[in-house]
Amino acid sequence: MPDILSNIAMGFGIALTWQNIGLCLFGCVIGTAIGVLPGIGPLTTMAMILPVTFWLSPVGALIMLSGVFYGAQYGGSTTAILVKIPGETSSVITVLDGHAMAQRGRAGPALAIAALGSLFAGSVVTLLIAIGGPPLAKIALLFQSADYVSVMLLGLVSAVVLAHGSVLKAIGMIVLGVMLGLVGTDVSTGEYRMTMGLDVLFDGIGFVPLSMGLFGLAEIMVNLEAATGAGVQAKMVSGLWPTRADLKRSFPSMVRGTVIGTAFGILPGGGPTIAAFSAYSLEKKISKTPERFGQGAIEGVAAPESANNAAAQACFIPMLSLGIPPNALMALMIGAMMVHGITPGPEIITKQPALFWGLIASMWLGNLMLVVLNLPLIGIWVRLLQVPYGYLFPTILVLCCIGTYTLNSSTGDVIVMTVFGVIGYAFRKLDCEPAPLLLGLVLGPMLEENFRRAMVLSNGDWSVFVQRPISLGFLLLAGALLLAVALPNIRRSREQAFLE
Amino acid sequence: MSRIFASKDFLAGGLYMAFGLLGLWLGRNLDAGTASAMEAGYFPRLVCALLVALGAALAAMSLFRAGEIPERGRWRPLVFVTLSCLAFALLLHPLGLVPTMLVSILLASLAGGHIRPIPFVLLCLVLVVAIVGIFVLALRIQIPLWPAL
Repeated sequence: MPDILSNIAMGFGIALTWQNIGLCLFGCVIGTAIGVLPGIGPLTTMAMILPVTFWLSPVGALIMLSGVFYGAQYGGSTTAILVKIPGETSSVITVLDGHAMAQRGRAGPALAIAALGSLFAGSVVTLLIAIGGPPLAKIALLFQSADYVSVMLLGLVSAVVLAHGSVLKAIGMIVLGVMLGLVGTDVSTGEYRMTMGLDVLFDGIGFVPLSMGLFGLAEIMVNLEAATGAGVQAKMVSGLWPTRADLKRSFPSMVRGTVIGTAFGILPGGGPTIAAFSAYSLEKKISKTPERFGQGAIEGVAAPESANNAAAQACFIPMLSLGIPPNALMALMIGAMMVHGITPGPEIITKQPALFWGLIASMWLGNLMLVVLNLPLIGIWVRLLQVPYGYLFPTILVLCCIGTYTLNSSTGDVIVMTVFGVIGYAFRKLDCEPAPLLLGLVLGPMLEENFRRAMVLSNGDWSVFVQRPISLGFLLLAGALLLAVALPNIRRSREQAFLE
Repeated sequence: MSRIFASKDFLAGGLYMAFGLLGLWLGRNLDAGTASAMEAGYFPRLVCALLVALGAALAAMSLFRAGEIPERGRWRPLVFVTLSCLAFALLLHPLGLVPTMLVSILLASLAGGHIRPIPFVLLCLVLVVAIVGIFVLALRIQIPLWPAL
């Protein structure tokens, strides 16, 4: 325990330098802004400002990028409550009761509870990372290649289980991602694979051009098909503070939301959106008065808002302690670390303590800043919504182009991005969710490397994956998950969860 | 074309198969090696074959139930967003950043979004000044600003 305290103290020493406070604030402001604006998500934004982080210290870069990520969770709920437009998918469920509260003139308390719930969840989970990260990393050091293969398979399987819609489609997207991840130079033999002789592809299909295309550009195309062009008018908010009864009602929901959010955040393939949905359905199920939900029940705001922020923070646990990204956003964080020459993996905590503890301390700081940013300054964010999409999308588009170009000073990357924009548009039309593909892209090369190593060590014997207990455990878990989706009973409730 | 072959699932299955076959074809010259001594081609072939199989299964299963048909898209956003990015990629080196951005923004605005001429000029000005300021002056990224003569 004293160890943790001194480590946390060291973390604050790093996070509280002027430069890092500034970066944290900058990340949170940008995060809130894009959270408020529908049609631009944290993934695109983080990819866009990735080139900016090359000029920062590694810890500064991570502090800023994570600020964008959890800032977006705060911002997304603001618009969900005020104008019934969820800024982020993770806030979709907040619309139901949050907006109902706003229509009854209780927008202020809804916003306050959403922010306080997020703060509560954020602080608890940050503590959990501080306590749980180091021992988890120690366990991870025992992993061998076969275990890594199995844990990644588990990750990919749960990404399938948690994705929307058809299971087969989601598996296909992941396998396609793995395949795209193999394009480029083979690390073991140095051969070029599937490059079509194009020199932009010799280093592989870049994570940034691919995600900017699939998410940024495809999003713009789809939005423009539906857009009316005009901004949204929102009423101003008066009276922020929730009553004592509100607080008493929402506190247990916040706790439950935090627990669920943490579980879904750690789970590979999980993340804020699914966490928020699950937390909401749980609240409705255990409530004595389920009929109040949808009519402005404060629990229906507190639980999902705590859950999505808890999940946003909990994603960092597998990323920091195992070096395995549980979702596309964390994959981008890993990309940012690698740019700075830090190899992700269980050694980060011991070899880069300043990075780990500095990042953790900055999360507390950031969550606190976000409450200040979101509550008293709410008027500014509402005004941001009035920016018409006609101004917004050319800006996003140009930033996508420049961001992709500056990464390697390569116009070829911009063309790769454009191609994936068109492919991403087709995916949208066919209901293929692109997030699992991104996870496959990042895990693909890691998976191959460990798979090859495991097979060399076992002399080509496939049973190595079931002989090691750690590996067997992960495989059984993955099998159980797949079986669970196949059972008609659970399948029905899964479909229901996505419908609500 | 009958309804069944236009369903989202059938088309998605076809798309997966196309990607898988393309991967197999592009990697046709890679040596696979054996399980204990894998060469560059082993894992890619495994993955591509799996993708083809998944695509085939998805397409086959879609034949047995009436699936949803994809919504009709509009061509303007797709075409002009794509053109705008391509213009950026192709014009940046001959023309430099400032003219390229203007062309890209113009093409983007044709994609939709209803923007009037005067706000459009203002938008161009603000974007050019902000982006040159941030990326070129502050971050010192080496991008030519004007056509090289």
